[in-house]
Amino acid sequence: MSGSSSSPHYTNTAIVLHWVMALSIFAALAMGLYMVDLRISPQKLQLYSWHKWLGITIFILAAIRLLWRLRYAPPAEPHMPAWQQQAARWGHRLFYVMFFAIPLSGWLFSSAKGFPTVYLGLFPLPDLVDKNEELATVFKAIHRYAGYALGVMVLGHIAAAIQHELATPKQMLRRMLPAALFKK
Amino acid sequence: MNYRYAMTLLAAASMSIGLGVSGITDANAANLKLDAAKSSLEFSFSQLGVPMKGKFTKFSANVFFDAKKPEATKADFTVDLNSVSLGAADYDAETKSPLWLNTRAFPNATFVAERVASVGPGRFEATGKLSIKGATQPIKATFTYTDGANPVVEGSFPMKRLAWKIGDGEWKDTSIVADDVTVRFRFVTSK
Ligand code: HEM
Repeated sequence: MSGSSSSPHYTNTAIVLHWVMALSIFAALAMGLYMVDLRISPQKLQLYSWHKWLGITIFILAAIRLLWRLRYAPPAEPHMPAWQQQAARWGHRLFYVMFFAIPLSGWLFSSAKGFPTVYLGLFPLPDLVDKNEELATVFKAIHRYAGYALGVMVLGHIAAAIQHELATPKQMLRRMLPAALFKK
Repeated sequence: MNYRYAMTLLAAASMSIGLGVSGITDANAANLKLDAAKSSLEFSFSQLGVPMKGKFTKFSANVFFDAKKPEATKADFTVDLNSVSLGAADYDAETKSPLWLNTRAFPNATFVAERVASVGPGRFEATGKLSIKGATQPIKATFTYTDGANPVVEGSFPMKRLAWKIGDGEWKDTSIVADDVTVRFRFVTSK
């Protein structure tokens, strides 16, 4: 993840992946937080399924996105203090870690709990571990707190984007905005 | 019909009844005692396309079975529905609740065999009445019988949960929890 491309924008693929994942993650977080406190009901089971399908979709998108990111460097960054550069660099790396750790811990939790995951209700995914109540408790905690952490990171990410837009207008944000699509 | 002829008929009839009764003491026929600890009673169903499994851990039976004369079978089973387990405490509690098994009002399920017939070597078919939650419906099970010191009766039957109102109200929606349930049993017995 080094070097930079000469284009002022991210690639179309990177932009689409960013925004599709942003919406999906927002939805998965909201669904996760809402569904866990519901009493057992058809609605709860439906939401659990959708949450798991959406989460696996994010997992797949994250894999594509990581490969893409390794292949295509992002556009040059506008000038900013070194600490901000480092914070952005490590923050973005941590995002990628979360994109994998959260869906994986959810999948592991489901497996350990003895509930298989059937993607879109059609494709049975392998159970990653055998049913095991203690492991389930561990994975549940990882899934929950990594989810909360991701929520906080998203807020930080948005705050940083706004801060750059205010400090150096029309330099940072436009590299990733959907408006940059097909403007090469 | 003269008197002597009638007496002969009667004698023949009582002899054949006698034979039938003595058939019960045949070496193959037996009252099978269920060893619940070694036996299993499981069910499976699909929830939003996801295969789910559960089991009952407490059940008992009175069984008289002769593999050579399956039609003479007498069998009834009782299942303690409070022993249900889906492997997660909150789902177990839900399964016992009024919309599902309503175990407070109906703690037991019973099955009474009505007809058992041979359908192949060591293979049998049993029809009978399954009562759950105050409803009684016919079911048809197929099973194998493996003789020995501890005869094993193993088989399964399909059922439609809604025929017994298992999962009533909001749970009638079969796109969430399928109507089809498969029950599998493996009864280890002793003669
Ligand atoms: C990026 C993707 C995902 C995000 C952001 C996410 C987020 C969350 C959040 C915030 C919760 C609520 C935690 C709590 O408050 O206890 C949750 C719960 C849950 N998630 Fe995910 N999740 C994702 C992917 C997945 C996947 C892929 C699966 C399974 C295949 C999954 C399975 C679950 C389950 C079963 C729960 C409920 C846990 C419980 O019953 O307490 N999640 N998720």
